[in-house]
Amino acid sequence: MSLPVENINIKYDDEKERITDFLSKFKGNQEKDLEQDFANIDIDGDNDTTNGGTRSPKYIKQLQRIANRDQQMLVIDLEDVLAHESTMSELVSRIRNNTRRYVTLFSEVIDKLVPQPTKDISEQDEVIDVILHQRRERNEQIEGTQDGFPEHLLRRYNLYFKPLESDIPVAVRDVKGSFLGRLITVRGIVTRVSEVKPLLQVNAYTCDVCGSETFQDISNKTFTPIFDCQNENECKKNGIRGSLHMQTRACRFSPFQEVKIQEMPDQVPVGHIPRSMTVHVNGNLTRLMNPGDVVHLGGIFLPIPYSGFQAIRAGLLTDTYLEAHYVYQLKKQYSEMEITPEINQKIEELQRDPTLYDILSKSIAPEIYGHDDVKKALLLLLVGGVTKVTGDGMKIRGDINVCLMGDPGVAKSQLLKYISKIAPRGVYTTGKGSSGVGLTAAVMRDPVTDEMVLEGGALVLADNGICCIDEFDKMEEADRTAIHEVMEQQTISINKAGISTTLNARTSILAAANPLYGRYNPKVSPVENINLPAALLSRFDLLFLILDKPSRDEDERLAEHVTYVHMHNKHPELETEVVDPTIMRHYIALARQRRPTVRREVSGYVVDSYVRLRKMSKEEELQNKSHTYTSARTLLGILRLAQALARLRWSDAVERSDVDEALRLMECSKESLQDEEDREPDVDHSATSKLFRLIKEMASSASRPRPTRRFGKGPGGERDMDTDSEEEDGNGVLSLTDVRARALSAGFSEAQLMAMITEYEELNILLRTASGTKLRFV
Amino acid sequence: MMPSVSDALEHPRKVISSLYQAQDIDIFPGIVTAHFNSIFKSKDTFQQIPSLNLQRPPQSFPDGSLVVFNAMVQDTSLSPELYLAVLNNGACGGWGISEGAIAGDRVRHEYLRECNVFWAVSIPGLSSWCLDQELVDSVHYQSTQPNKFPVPNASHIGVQLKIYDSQLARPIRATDVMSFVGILTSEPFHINADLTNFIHVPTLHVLYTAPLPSTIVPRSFPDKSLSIVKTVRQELIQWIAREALAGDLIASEWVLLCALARVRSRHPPVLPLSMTLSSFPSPVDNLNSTPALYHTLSQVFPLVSFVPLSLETLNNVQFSPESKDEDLHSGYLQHPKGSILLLTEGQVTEGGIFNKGIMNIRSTQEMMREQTLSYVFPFCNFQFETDVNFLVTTEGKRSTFFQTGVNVPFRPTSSGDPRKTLYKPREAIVLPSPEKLSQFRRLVGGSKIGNVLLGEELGKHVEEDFIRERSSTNREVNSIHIFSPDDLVKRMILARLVALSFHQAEVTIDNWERAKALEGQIKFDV
Repeated sequence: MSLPVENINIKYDDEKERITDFLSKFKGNQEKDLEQDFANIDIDGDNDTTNGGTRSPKYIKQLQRIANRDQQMLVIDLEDVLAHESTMSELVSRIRNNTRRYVTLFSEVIDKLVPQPTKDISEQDEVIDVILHQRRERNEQIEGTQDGFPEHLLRRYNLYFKPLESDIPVAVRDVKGSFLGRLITVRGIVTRVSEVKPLLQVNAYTCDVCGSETFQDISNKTFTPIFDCQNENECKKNGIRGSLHMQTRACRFSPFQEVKIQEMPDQVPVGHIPRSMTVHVNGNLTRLMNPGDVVHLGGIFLPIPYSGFQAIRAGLLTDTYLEAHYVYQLKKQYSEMEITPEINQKIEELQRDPTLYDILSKSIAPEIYGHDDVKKALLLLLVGGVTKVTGDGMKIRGDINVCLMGDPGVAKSQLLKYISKIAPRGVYTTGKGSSGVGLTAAVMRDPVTDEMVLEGGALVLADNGICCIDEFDKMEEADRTAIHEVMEQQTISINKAGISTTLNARTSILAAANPLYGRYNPKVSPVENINLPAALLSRFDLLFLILDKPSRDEDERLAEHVTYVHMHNKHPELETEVVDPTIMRHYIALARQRRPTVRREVSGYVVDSYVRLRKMSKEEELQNKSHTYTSARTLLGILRLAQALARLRWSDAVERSDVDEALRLMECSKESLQDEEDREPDVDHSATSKLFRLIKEMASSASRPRPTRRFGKGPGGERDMDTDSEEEDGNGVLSLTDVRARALSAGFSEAQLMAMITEYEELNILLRTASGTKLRFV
Repeated sequence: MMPSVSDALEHPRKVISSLYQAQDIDIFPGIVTAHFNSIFKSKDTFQQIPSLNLQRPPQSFPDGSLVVFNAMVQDTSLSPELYLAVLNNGACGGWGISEGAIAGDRVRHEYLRECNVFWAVSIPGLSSWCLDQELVDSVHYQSTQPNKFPVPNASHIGVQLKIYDSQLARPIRATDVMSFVGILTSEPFHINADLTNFIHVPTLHVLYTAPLPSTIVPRSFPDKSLSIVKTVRQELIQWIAREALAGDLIASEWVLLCALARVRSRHPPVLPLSMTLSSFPSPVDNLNSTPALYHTLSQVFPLVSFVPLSLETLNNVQFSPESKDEDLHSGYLQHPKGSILLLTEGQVTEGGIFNKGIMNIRSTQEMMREQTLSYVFPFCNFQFETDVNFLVTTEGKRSTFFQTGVNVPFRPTSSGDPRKTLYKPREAIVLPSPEKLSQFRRLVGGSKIGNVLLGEELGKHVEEDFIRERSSTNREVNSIHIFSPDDLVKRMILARLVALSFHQAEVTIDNWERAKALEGQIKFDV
């Protein structure tokens, strides 16, 4: 056994030289160093600022601070070692593969390198320093040869290795036995944190007889105390035994904490149960983690050997743990998602896609056919508008509320469930019966039917998320009142049992309700069918009525679908490609970070539209045809929807087209309420005429000179910049690429666009010029 | 080397040790698996392995016995354990082999390998006639970790599994049901291994596993040995109606069909129909009595569990599994795929339902509707797929707590107070002849695993039927209920179940009409 050990020793001496070289010579990256210096200013006043400009050795400087007892934690960044050695294979990989050994080696080197303190540190003296001092004095007196102190006792620092930045964090289940002794990085969520306890590192004893101190290094969890004085000169010579007493004040302790981490949902393969891991945290790294934190932990993977009686069992090692060396806190919220480069690329592709709005809305519950406008509204609900807080603390809600009303069995619930799943904090609940929203509930015997019924309790909603409430109409009156407050003020007030408090409930409401008698009754007016108070209805930005009207074509398609599913146990192939829910979630999360503003000219447009709507609503009211009511809330609703549309494009400004689409959705929602007979003949709603109106509007808006808002075309003489081809647009000429982009983003297809152009060309209204790259109005 | 059965039965560890001839320690566990698998390949030899069950609890076996344990995997979250794959004397380690290990010796890290640790329990709800087990009511035996068994306070065996062959361990999931063959010892429970007070639990060092079908006893579909399926099916319905449902043949047929269902597809969802048996009388005197329906069903179906819903149970018993201090406790709903859960609301009294009760109701409802169960972990929940049929009995017109796929009103036909017969003890149930009983079991087992096709012809018929029905209901404007697409899906599932219960390979138009007739029989008279 002895030979290989010696071999290793020689090598370790070499290693020590390397380490010395690294520690004393490595100069930090200047920028980083400066940062460090600035950071240090706060800690130790004006001490270091003089060195700011020069590149001083990074670690030597820290060692000085350690000697001055200004610093306890010494982090050896493996990136620095790599930079110094400029190779992975040598020191770096050896540190990573045999980390514990190198902690010792580094410590030994540092013990030699630590300089004398440059300032008076006597006020920070501990008991151990007093003992040290006394021993030194006595040694001088009697010229004794008594051994010094264990190095460990004198160390005033905790040494940690920081893993390479390229180290990929692994899941707990991927940590294999072959990783033992290595420096690894593990990702997980902290589930349990123990109290911080002192861990004995060096035990100190004094001798009753001779008064000398004995020190014992403790490296394991258990140890056997020494009873006999180790003083060679006196007690050992005289054979005195059992005279030692433990001196707690002279012992060296280190703070110690046991932490449990568990795998994150994305790391667990489907159908598996998450695993957890024990982490031991020492010294300065304690108290850094709290339950619920998502962390990257760099550390050494080590086994816990059986001890005592258990050791008899076949050298089996029970458990393993991670000795933490580096803690990196990820974002505080565990619900936040991590973006991989792959997802990033897909998101960028998606962002460039001109038909983005269409694709995303079609990807909502793709197995539900049709309901395009409802899906668009739901997409905007996910994205949301911008919440504003005015100077005096008043809040204007940005969350969009949508209500779906309709017959049973029109997939309302599926839509709701899909939304609650895709939203970062979606809650799905039903208004009736098992009141999942409440915290308490009671079972009562119904006095009339004598049956047991479940009574819903208090309403508690998820903050900062989307609350999907099914069977909204069946909700208790009291709960519905609470909803009023949630939907506009975004708070819940509780006045119960002497407690009066207001809780935040910043949530979007997506409600689904059945008409009054379970099914929509075409014989009575829509208002009677809807069965919800106007005050509540006005709080919904959009309200859609989805009816299950038997029609031969629809029914046939539906029955075909159902039979297909049961014949093949799978869905028929979808016509369009859908966006993966994860990508969608990421995209929406990114979109939600934007805060688009409404520019002056756009806001003018909004105001105009609002005035027009008010007028129309008044007229309708006179004719007694109105089912809804246009109020200031409608205006805010339009703005919210327009902001959501701008967010979807990742744009920082709301454009006119956004307002147009918001108005269109509002219109759709209104139309869905109208009785079939009331509806105007559907001339205006074919794709062709819609497209035509779109490009006509493009042409007219382009014709306005941009800097000032002037009505009508400017006189030709003013336009002296006609060399620029783009400016030609003023004459009603549009670039086909612009038109195409616009049409696609408004949800039309290429084929529809071309059909429209040919049709209007035949009518001699449009003309393709410049070999088909431009469109001109005749 | 000729594999000797008696050696393997008596000294399994010696067989392993002699098998080890300095092979690669990474592939050695696979060799052991293959070796033992081949020894006990034939049914005769397999049956020689003593079985670990309530009659023969772990204590009754000497340390190091070879046993077979038919079990449900309850927890796979336990951290793998490291073992010394090669001992200091050059022999192989693992499987509890400890000869040749010297305490306090320096551990050679290069020989450390890991083994997977799982927790397995007796199969919950397993009917006594499966696997030749006699029912033992008198024996009350609980493992040291009672919270790792789904049914609270029930007799069961809980065993820590150690699997050395990673190929064997990889596909194992929670609630999987299989036979584990291994060496039984007693070792410290893994989770609190770092505590000073060790709890010793029965530990099975697994040699190999044998799969168990979801019907526990292998069945075939269509079963040729059944003489006339139609008669057997009719007799079965009559028997269930007579013994458990006071002669209600309609309810009996519905119960049978709903119990046959299983998850056919998840995307799109073709899930089992959950069923409420409404207007079902509560027991007269003793609220805790078990309905005879449970005893009857467990005579024919292999996995049936009875969940008496009382406020106390709802508020205090954990329904979904929950991880507490890194130990996954089981919940009432953690049942293997293919189980039938019978929920009774007869015990519900007036009172409060608290947070836990609400969560329990929600997870049950979610499982009924989507066949997924969330396991509760700190800071996140994990969804697990289930395949469990729900039968709810209630006194009211509909279930107090749940929305089920179908609601069948109970209409007793026999005279007198039906409650006497509905809650009669197991002994009072009149069993048919063993031959008949076996036919019943083969019928339901086959139907449970069978697959039926849906032909183009029926597809056409269904489409036309649907359109006809829609247009006819639309004309009667007064009718509140229009035949909705959901109804179509339900009827489709029902028609398939009808075909399965007849052991047919294809759904016929007759089945479709039968499903329609069945639906018609349960309509309420509004």
